[in-house]
Amino acid sequence: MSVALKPVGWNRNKLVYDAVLIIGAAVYILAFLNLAPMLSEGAAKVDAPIQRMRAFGSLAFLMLTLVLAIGPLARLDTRFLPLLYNRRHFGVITALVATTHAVAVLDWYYAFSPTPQLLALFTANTSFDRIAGFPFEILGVAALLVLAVLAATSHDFWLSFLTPPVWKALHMSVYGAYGAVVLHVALGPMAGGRDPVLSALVAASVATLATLHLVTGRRERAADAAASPPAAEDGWIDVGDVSEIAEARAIVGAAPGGERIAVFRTKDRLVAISNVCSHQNGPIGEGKVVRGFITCPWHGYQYRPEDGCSPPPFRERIHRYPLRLNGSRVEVATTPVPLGTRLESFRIPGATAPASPVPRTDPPGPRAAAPGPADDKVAS
Amino acid sequence: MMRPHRRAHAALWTALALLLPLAVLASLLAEPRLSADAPPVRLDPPAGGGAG
Repeated sequence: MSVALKPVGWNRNKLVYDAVLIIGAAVYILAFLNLAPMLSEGAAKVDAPIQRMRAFGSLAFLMLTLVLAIGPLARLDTRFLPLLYNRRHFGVITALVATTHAVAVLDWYYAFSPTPQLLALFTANTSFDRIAGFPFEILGVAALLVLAVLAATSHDFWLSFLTPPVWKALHMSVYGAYGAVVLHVALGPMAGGRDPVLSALVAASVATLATLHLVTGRRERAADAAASPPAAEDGWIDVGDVSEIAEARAIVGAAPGGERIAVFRTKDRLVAISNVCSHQNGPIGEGKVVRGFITCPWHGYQYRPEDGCSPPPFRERIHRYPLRLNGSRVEVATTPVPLGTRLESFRIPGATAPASPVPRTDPPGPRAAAPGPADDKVAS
Repeated sequence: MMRPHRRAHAALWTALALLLPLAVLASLLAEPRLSADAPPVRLDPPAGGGAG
């Protein structure tokens, strides 16, 4: 967010995304409450309030697993990018479902406590020295606190206020929350192997998420290690051949220090720009040029090719790099020009601009399909 | 993503991938035992250990 605070910059994509989430959550709760007693003899014997807390608890765990899978899936396959677009709403709804679970637990198990319910929750069981019987509720409370803080700071106001590196570091605590939730379930309903189905689901969640995140991290490390070869002159790197760059798309090189640089082709011109979006560090080089603006594939943040600045009234800026051609090889300087400096795009000798408007293919993310360059940047 | 973020991310998930399966396994195998101050008369089936 760069201009003014709007609670939520709603658009059709966000409405559809949230509607699907809420309807999906409601269908899950109804299905759980109706099917569990039919499928499990044990579930048929438990009271309705316990069944409800199980329904909301399992839904919160499922949603947390899904929301943590979106990031690596979008890195591995661009077809998952639309899920990334409104991931923060997914996280907020997950926190709300988890809160409902916690309230249901307090209202049932601590309804007649002579002490305040939260105090009773923390003092009823102090067997911290054992695995079976460990006060697992405290791990759930810890995870819920983290989810609440992340939900409260999920708005772009906080992203701007805290700066992207601090905001990203804060929001990485969701991994700790996930670990606490797994332990909460393992030491609670799973303890002693009482529920094999639940055990299998938790094991599948841990295995899937760990595999996805580690495989994605390995790919990113490989990309970091594969720095672009140096050009003949010091301070320049060879990013690739101009013929490799499709119209309105980019190739990505890496400077020796690891900074990734995207080279976009737009009509008969080339532009070298930082591959890191100033919004959430999204990979700009995997985006495209939409109506003359370089557009990040994650949330649709846009930048002018000539100076790396977002169009008014937005104020985001990213670095641009000097660029030249050596034959058909694209060479980029490893030192950027100062932020906001106007640098003419490099004209490809002999190339001609398309006579008709640039053909647009289906965008990887929903933001690129929006009508203008600045309509939904006040995201939440 | 920036490099430090990627490094922290990889370290976190390596730790989670190692620790969580061990913790889950330990909880599955753990035998319940009564606490030292458990009351002598209980409605649940008797378990090993404890004062009861």
